[in-house]
Amino acid sequence: MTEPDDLQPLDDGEDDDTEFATLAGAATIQEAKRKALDQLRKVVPYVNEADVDFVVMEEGSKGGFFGRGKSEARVEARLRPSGERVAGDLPSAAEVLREFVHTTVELMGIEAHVGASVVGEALRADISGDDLGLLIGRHGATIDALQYIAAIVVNGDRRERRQVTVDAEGYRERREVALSSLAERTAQKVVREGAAVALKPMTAAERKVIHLHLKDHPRVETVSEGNEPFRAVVVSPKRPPG
Amino acid sequence: METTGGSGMLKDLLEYLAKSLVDSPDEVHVEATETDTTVVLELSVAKDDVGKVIGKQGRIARALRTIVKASAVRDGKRAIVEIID
Repeated sequence: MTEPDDLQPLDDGEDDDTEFATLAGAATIQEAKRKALDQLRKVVPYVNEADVDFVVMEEGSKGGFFGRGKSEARVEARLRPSGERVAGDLPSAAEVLREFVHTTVELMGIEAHVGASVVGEALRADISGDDLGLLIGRHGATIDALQYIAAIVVNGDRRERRQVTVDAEGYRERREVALSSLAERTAQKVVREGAAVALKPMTAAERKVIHLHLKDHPRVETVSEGNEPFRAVVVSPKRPPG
Repeated sequence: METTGGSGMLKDLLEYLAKSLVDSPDEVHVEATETDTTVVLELSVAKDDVGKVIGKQGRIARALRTIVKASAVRDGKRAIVEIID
């Protein structure tokens, strides 16, 4: 982990519409973009990705031959001045989401910052802070519960439900990587032993990661079995065709 | 990370969550009883709102309990959430 770079307002001195830009470094460009966006959200709570221009300063490398070691990808994120933003003012749904998550986290006695954004039709809230293990919970149980309630609060009785994601310090991405690797290891075991393996119960979103990861696997297939909240993925050897 | 601690905070948390979910927030009440090891929180809401804090197959109630219990861990306590209907 690297320290976040300074976030400084770029004051062009001409009008009072402050511009914000920030530079972030990480192992990949994608990750650096996410970090830069998180940093922007610490100063401007509602940042729509569509209103941010990303400039890749360094592509980074995994380390070369001449002992030069690896270098970080560095990305600058620049928020457009408010007059040029496509998103305009924050849509009220994102504001409701931010407010709800912020107050809940505060009442849980956790010191954290919450930003919210609109990504297409979906909404996401990002919580950042130092000690978010308690907020995330075992296998994400607590943050999943918070996300579930937040989605109901935001959507109310509306028929068209917007997808709501509540994330903390990149937890969702880390969890997805961990689940993909679990899928991989389980598939290997199933192939090796020729017997089906049932995974632990997971949420629908988590099961989806497993299904998608093994969708094109030549030798195993996946199904979900059982009732919520104990519904679990079963990985089994693919039946020979015919 | 300071908390005002104890059941007061847990009560406020549950009250806030419940008020966010129901149609009649004024009728949300939480009664807290605390022992050395356990905090019992009794949540009552308007009759028409009971479903809103329980949810299909108790999913909302379960999510509320998960959040409240996680918070109680900080105080080294066990939290029990009961919904009065």
